[in-house]
Amino acid sequence: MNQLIISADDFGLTEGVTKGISESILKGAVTRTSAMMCTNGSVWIKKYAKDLDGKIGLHLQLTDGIPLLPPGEVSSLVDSNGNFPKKYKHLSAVNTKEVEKEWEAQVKALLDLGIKPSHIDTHHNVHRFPKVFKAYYTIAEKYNLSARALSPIMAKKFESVGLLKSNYCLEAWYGENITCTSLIDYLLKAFQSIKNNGIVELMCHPGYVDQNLELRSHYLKAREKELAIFLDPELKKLLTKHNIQLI
Amino acid sequence: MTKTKTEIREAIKEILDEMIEMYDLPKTEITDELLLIETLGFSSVDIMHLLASVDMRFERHLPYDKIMLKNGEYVSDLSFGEIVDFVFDNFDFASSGPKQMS
Repeated sequence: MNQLIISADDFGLTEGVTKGISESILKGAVTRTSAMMCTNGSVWIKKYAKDLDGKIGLHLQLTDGIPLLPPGEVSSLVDSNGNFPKKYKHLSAVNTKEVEKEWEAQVKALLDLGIKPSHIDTHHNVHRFPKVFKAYYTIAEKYNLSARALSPIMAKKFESVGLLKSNYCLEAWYGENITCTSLIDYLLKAFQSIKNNGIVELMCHPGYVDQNLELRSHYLKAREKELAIFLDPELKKLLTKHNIQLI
Repeated sequence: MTKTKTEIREAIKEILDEMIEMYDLPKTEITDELLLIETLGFSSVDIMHLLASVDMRFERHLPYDKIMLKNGEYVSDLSFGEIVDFVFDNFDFASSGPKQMS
């Protein structure tokens, strides 16, 4: 049987997103999430994390938020206002040591909320950059956390130290035209590409749109579309029909 | 700011060396003929990551779909030299970053 992780990014982004992700795990097909520490969302994380033991990882940030360390300590990571850039395309010459220090602070912040992360990934998948990947790998090893791999060579690196959870990460299932059927087609192609031998991770962004989200994100109604699909009982039936097990 | 082809080649080589070391890839002499998929075991995603790092280094946004896609499909492989040529040829026409934050 093929095994699938459905991983919701952005836990803590806004209350609507956090509530939606919680529901998508408790009542739907999503299997885990990862929490953001740089969005002032700790109150929502604590509120909605109660029944998600062991299902919350850390969504390490270098974008779209405020660093936990003073800007002077992470000068290569912030703009003139002391904020992370909004998008990964705005990152410039990051200093790997500063990334490590900032991400250590983010790990500590999640631990301070009483949540031991089950895994790590990154907001906007910024660990695509080798200089950032170095820090990502260091954090994974230091805290013995499984890590999202974005490509086969990354997967191999984590596999060599026993920190690989999934063999293939799907990053491109999103938008307002998605359906249960398009999801199943996408998953089947992914399993075929790894010759039905390994675990696939689907990255997703379910949630409810609220005022805060409208102020900070362009990805709005599609989050509710994703949520509806993950809550649809038909999805679990289709997964079973196609021999896909949620883990 | 315009870059010479030698400066571009050195910068891309540095990023590629970093990837080879970071991902424990086969130690290989980087020549213009080096094929990233066949020789290093890259996937198209890894090539995109390399190209994203080139953008980060030069604070440019190059139209990489022109080199990655042929007739709507990913190319089967790319050489180091092809990437150097592409970045050099498109460098002065690329948008420079950072863009207006949204």
